[in-house]
Amino acid sequence: MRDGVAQGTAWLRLGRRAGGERLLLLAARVLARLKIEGAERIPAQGACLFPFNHASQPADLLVNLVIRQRRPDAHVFAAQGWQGQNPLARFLARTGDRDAEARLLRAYKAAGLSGGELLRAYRILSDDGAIALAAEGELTWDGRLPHPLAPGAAWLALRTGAPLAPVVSVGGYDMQPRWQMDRLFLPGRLTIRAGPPLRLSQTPQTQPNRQAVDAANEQLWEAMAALVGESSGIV
Amino acid sequence: MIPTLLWRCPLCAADDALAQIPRLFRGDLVHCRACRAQWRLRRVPGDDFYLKLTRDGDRRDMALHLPTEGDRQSAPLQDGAERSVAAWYDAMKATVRLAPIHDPALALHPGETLYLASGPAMLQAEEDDPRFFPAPAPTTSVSRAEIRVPRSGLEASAGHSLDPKKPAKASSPEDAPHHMDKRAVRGRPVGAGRLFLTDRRLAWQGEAAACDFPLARLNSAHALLADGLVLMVEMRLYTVRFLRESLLKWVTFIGLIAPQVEAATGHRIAVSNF
Repeated sequence: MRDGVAQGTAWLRLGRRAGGERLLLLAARVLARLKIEGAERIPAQGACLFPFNHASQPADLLVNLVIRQRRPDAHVFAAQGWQGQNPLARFLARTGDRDAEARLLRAYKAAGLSGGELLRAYRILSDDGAIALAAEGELTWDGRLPHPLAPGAAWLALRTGAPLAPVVSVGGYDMQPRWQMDRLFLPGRLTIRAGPPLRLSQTPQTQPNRQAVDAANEQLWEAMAALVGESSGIV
Repeated sequence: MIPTLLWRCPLCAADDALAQIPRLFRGDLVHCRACRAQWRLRRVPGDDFYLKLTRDGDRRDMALHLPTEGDRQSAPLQDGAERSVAAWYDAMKATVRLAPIHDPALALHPGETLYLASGPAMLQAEEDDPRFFPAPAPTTSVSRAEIRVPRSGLEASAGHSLDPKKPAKASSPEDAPHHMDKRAVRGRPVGAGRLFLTDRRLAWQGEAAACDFPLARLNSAHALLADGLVLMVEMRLYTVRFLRESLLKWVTFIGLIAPQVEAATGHRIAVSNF
């Protein structure tokens, strides 16, 4: 599997040098029939959070490309591994991304350990920065949007007053489901859809309590579910 | 593969019974080794994966089929029935209950109930975890006076007493220093063994070491992609990689027992979505 990843990153690096991210998007349009809807809704400036659904790794990669086309300064939360270096940073570095480590925020798979990175995210948003994050916290197992979402996005939105601009992928799950990550299923039919910005709080809340975060989280889930097209995705 | 998601047969409720057989240019086959049911896997690009039942199982009486409310595919299961993988997953989850099991490999405390026992697994711990990697004892050429580390601190981190008259103390999470910043933390293999889940603890029975993780001290249990179960016990990280079974089964059972632990002790365990 490592050889496959190395080979994949070599192709991505080559593609990047040949035509940049536009070539990757072109390949996605051909191989995954990629459609992008509502890209103009992605705020080009100002503090903003971009919650996306964690459907599959290829879909997430393309969602982040679409976000970065409008917001090149966007940071991204990525799962932190055990070996010090972030796996996504390593992957992006292999594809030729030079500042990958600097624009990544570490999300730990353990309760409470991401607190420091949440504070770093708070400072980024306070400086009018942008952050993309998988709102569920981890990849979906069955293609549906898990309920409830992880509380990080809602807490940050309440704490900073920054708007949430959801960007979701529809049809990305079957390209590489979590239960078969050693294989990429092509062709795909992928749609990336940006929703209207959602403001959970007009002013920053200094100490959002659990009820406020839960209510905000529910509001975000409903906005994302509507974009994904799930009528009742509660699982 | 499908058995990672469907870790239990949705028809006969046998654990770890499904197997996926890849086929070129045709949909893969999935069959149950326990009830001999068989499905054909079909992918619809941009939509989902579907499993079509091509051979009914032998032990349907054991199964519970509880389609979720509002499920458009709630027709009775029969040969030829095709449902999305998500719908089969719902049917499988409807069969899951906390039921006592017995395994002679784990000695239970009085009144304790065993719910889950793994097959072979690999455990990884933080490289300075005193539970598994005690600090090296000072060599005989070094006098105690030369040891700069305060004795109590060394005892705490090593989990052992330096006084030969004093019995060795079992290491406990309270003794371990708490590490909030995990950026520089490295994992180190502990070795092979088996993991057990009871109503009180997660018990690791390894070839090299055995250890209990009381559920009242378990902070979280998360699935790391499809590879490993990440446990955090009082700020210490552990990863268990199951060699022959789905980690989703473990996430599910810990997720089922977490509310019981919270009701009994007030301690909340964060668990991945399942």
